[in-house]
Amino acid sequence: MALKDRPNNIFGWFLDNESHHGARICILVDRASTDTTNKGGDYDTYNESSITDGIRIHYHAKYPEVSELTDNLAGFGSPANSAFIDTGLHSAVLDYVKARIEEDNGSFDKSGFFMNKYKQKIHQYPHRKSGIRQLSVPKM
Amino acid sequence: MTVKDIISQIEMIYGDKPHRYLMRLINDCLLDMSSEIQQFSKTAKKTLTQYQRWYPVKDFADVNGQAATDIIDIYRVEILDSDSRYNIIPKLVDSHKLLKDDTDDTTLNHSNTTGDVTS
Repeated sequence: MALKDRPNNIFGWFLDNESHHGARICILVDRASTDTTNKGGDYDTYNESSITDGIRIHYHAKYPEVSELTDNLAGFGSPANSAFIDTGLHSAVLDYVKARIEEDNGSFDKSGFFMNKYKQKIHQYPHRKSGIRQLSVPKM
Repeated sequence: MTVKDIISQIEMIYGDKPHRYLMRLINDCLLDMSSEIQQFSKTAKKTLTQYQRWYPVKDFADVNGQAATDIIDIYRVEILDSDSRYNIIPKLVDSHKLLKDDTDDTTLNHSNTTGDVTS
């Protein structure tokens, strides 16, 4: 019997992205929790009773689509305003749209210019990725 | 900044454009941003089932009860303990080794990692 009172000692997970069934998570139990002669490291399928909502995953998600003119990038999606883009990145959205319009107009130089601006903004925000690096020491 | 603000700014420079077209470009941008900056995080849940090893990601449900089809990358998994609290469980880094002799696919989902049947 796997003990559910200390799952972080017993359970483990990994993601299988290469399955023909589509992406799936593997949840395993350390056999040492059920077999005292086992020193751990061998894993087994969970064999206790089922637990409703027993697994919770945290994931990076795609932004929901905007569909109304009144949708605000500072808070949109369902549940209400759950998705947001920092106001500092709103101008990057403009750059992206300009780049795509220029591309559709056949102006590839201008398109590249705006796309570079867009890439630069989203990669430098919110953390600086180049230049002098320093430790962030809190003020005492 | 609202969608209307963005469209107004674009139309000031490029003249009238179909709103549907501009909305599509904004949504393309949001999709691109999602993968580039990975700033938008969500949670989803699924029942921990006896003798089930594999949990298809599409079977998880988000807070709205909708299938979690918008996943880019899973970075944390938690299990509900007997005090009704979620505990982070470790990600196994030797999954290839674990799967080496594993015949578990869809029917033998209660076999262990060495191929033995546990029940």
